[in-house]
Amino acid sequence: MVDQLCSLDSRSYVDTLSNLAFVDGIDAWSALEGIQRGTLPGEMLPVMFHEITHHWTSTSLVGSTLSAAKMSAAWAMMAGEYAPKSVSPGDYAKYLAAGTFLRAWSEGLAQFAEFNVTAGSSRSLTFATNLMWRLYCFTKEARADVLIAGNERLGAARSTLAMIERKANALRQPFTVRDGGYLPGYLAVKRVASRLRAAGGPFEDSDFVLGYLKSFVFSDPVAAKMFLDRDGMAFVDDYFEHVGRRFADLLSRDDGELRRAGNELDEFLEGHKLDDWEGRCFPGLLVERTEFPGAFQALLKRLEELGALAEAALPDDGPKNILARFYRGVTRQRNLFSLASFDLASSEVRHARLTTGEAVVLVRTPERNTMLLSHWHEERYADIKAIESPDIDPKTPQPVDLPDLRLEVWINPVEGGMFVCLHSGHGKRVGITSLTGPCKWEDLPKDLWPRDGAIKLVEQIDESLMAARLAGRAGAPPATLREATAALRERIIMTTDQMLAWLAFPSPLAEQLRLILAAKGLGALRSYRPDALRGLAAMTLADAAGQSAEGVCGRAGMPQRYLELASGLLHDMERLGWPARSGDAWMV
Amino acid sequence: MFNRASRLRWGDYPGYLVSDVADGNGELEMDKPVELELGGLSDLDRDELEALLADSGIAQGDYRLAKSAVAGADRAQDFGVSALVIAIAPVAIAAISAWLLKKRQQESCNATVRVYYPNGQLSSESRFAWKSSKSAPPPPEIVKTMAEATQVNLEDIEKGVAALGG
Repeated sequence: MVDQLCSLDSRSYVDTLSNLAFVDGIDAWSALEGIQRGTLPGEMLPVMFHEITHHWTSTSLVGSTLSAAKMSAAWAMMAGEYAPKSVSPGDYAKYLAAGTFLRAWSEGLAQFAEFNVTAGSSRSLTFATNLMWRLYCFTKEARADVLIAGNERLGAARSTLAMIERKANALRQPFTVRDGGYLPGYLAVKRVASRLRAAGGPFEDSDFVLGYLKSFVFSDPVAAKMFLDRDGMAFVDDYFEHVGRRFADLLSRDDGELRRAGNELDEFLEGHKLDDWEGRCFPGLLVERTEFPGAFQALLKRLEELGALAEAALPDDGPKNILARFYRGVTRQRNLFSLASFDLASSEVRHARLTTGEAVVLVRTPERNTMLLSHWHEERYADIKAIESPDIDPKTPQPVDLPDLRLEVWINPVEGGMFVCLHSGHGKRVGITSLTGPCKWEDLPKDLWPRDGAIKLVEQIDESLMAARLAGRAGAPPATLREATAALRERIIMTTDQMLAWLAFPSPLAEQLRLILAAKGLGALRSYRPDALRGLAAMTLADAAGQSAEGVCGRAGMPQRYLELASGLLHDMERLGWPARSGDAWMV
Repeated sequence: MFNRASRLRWGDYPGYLVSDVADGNGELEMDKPVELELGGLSDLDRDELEALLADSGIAQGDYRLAKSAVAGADRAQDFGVSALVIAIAPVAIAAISAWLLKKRQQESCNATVRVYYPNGQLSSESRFAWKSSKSAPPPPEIVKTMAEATQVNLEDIEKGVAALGG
């Protein structure tokens, strides 16, 4: 249930265990061409923003701790004699409880990024927006130019029928975390964001709000410590109480306090280095900064323990070996973002030498151009980008005899590197090159696992974990983990739904509105018709793009009468005591 | 010739729809497809389609909705995409055709129509995919494709579509 963070109506997702991204609908050639020209396919922009936001939330103290909790549970359930006392099946209860809330919150942030965020007046730029603009506005240099170009591209992408349809479908989802929590996460993020926005200062910048709400939850050292210190069931209750108390405290602060906290964080982020782990302890309201070093050290200790297990289990042939290979391989690339991956025929690949003597791998593109890759081998590696004129010796190209070739594009969002990698069958590494300038061997992701191999490993772990059997109480037959946690899962779903309703709706009506929207989201409103919801979606997207709803309808080719139909939904929401707008901010 | 198990499967559907594909002896014809699956539906698509089916006098119990199967652990979370399964009858095909024609006018489409023989074998698969009405096939072609795939009389479908305001 909490294993994958998905994008609506596409197959894109980010896996919470490995932080592995699967972006649907983009092939490696268009990704390569887009990166080199500084412009990826525009229609993919919102989905990319969505998935990059997920990846960013998981690349955090709490995201990493969540992943460690699932790994601990997997070791406890699958490792037999290798499992030390420090791991227990109860770690799965922790993963389930926190993961259910965190997934919904991450979905809320990702949809907020996709539908609402534009970079504005604050001094800092979020990690997700930074990466987006690097992918989409690569050729621009000045920050102001990048912001203008980026916001224009987002505005254009949000004024399309496809985007209106995505937003309308998002509002039609059930208000429950049972199927991922898209609507509860989004409505909760929107309402808290509107409160922050009303405080003014840097919070008037929706990109800054995105970063604040991400840090507030995913950089919380107290939550991470609870994860690592407390037993399964004790953690479940304490975690929800902790999260609820922090949000209640945040929402009770006056505008001045919120602005001061926002300014402090904005100033901190402006001079912040992305690869500075200690620096991820963001200042701000209700952040126990003194707890951060302890939480970080405790996480490192847990990861070391899991690493020792991996060393011991590697020679084993059973499920322990799956875990060991996963830990030694895939977890080490959790900061990397997989942009694209596709099969390549061996007839398109040649070994060759440059006129300067370096051995290289040639790949023929669909346009019959040639791309140069370095050998993926320390002794034979040549930094092609550092060679002034890398000309191929025409006598040298030789066919390759390698099966199952796969070309992949990977990004290191933290360090800013982008790489093209060529793998052969069974993960044999063939060629690699940097897309972003000269790159030394030690700066390459040299131990990288191919994306599909890593996905297969994650799926094997999930299947083995859920099928693993727990010893029952005296006389009771052993149950699978899925069966043993079914009741707990239901309790966690209810608690999380109620918490998100409390954040999403005006307080006296939270439970009533949750129940109304539980099955069909805004599809349960009296005036609901699909076209009315499309009209409402167009209104909200137009607002985020700084355009008129009529203008967006016109550009998208959507009938203007849908906007009139949407007025019925606005009236329904008003009648229920949940107005669609508060001041100048949309609640949906 | 006729597989007993597949008749039982067919029995899930109400009689008036079954009678449309039954021969003179009450037996189902083997050379005609009897069941249609429309896949790739978002929640909004599903609501629109259900409204058109209701307008055609087809009740909720006369069809079933299912999540599209997507490979991989927990990928059913990739929700928002589902499939509608219904017995082939002129009224049903007219409603589905009317829905496709509405999609053609308004937005992009990525739907797949599969039709099955009584024994569960796939008879044909038609993909209705376009990114804008400019790239969509013309309306007569959509209706013709539906008629050919389902072996329902073209005129019956056209009449049904017209009755639904299409």
